[in-house]
Amino acid sequence: MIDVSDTKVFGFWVYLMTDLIIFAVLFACFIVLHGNTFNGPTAKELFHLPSVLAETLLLLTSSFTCALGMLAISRQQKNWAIIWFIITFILGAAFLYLEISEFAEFVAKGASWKRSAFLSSFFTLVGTHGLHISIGLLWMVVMMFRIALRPLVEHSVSRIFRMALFWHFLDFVWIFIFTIVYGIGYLL
Amino acid sequence: MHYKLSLSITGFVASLLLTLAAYLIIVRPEFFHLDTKVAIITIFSLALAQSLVQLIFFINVWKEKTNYWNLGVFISTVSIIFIIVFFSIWIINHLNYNMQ
Repeated sequence: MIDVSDTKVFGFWVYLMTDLIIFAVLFACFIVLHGNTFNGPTAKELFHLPSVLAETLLLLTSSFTCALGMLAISRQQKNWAIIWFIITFILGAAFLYLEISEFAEFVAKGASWKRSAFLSSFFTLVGTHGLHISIGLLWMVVMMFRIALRPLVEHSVSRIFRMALFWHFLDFVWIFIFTIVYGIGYLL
Repeated sequence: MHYKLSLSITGFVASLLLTLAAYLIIVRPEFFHLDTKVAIITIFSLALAQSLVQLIFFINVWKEKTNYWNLGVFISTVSIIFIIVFFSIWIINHLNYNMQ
C-alpha cells in the first residue's frame, strides 16, 4: 500500500527532476559559452571568490537548519520548527542579498548580460537559481504561518516536507554552480 | 520524512569540509602542486562527493515506500542530463574545431 503523502512526494520529486534538467541545459550552455567573452571581462577578472564562499556557506548552513526544522516538525515541536525556519529564512535572504549585490556590481562595471555570450549564460544560470531561491523563501514564509495557525496533522507535515525538499534541492544545484561556474570558470 | 539529528550533523560537517577543500584548491592550485587540468578534475570529484552527501543526508526521499520510484526517476534524470550535457559539449567542441 502506498499512502497519499508518499504519492505527493513522488509527484513533487518528478517536478524537481524536470527542474534539474532545466538547470543541466543552462549548465551545458554556460560550459560551451564560458570562453566567448567578446573582448569583455573574463571570469577570472570578474569573480570575487570570498563572497562566493560566503554564499555557499550560507546556503549549506540554511540546508542544515532546514533539516533541524523538519526534525522539530517530526517531534511536533511547533515553536522550535518556526525558530529554525526563521533562521533558515534569514540565511537564505542573506544569500540572495549577496547574490543580487554581486549582480549589481557586475552591471555597474559594464559586465551586464548584454556584454558577451559568457555573461548572458552566467546571468541566466545563476539568475534562474536566484529566482528559485526567492520562490523558496516565499514558500517558507507561507509554511511558517501554516505551522503557527494550523495543527500539525499528516497532510500538513507532508506539505512542509516538500518545502524542505525544495530547499535541499536548491542547495544541491548550488554545489554545481559553485564548482562549475565559479571554480572551473576561475581556474581556466 | 525520516530526519535524524546525527545524520544531519554528519552531513553538515562533511559538506563544510568538502566545500572548504574545493575552495582552497580553486584559490591556490599551485600550493597543492596541481596543474589546471588536475585541479579541475579534483574539484569536480569533490562536487560529486558533495552532491552524494546532500542526497544521502538531506534529501530524504529514499526511505519512503515509493523509494524505488523516486530512485528510478532520479537515475533516468541523471542519464538524460549526462546525454544532454556531455554530448552538447562534445558536439560544440568539434564544430569549433571543424570551422577553423
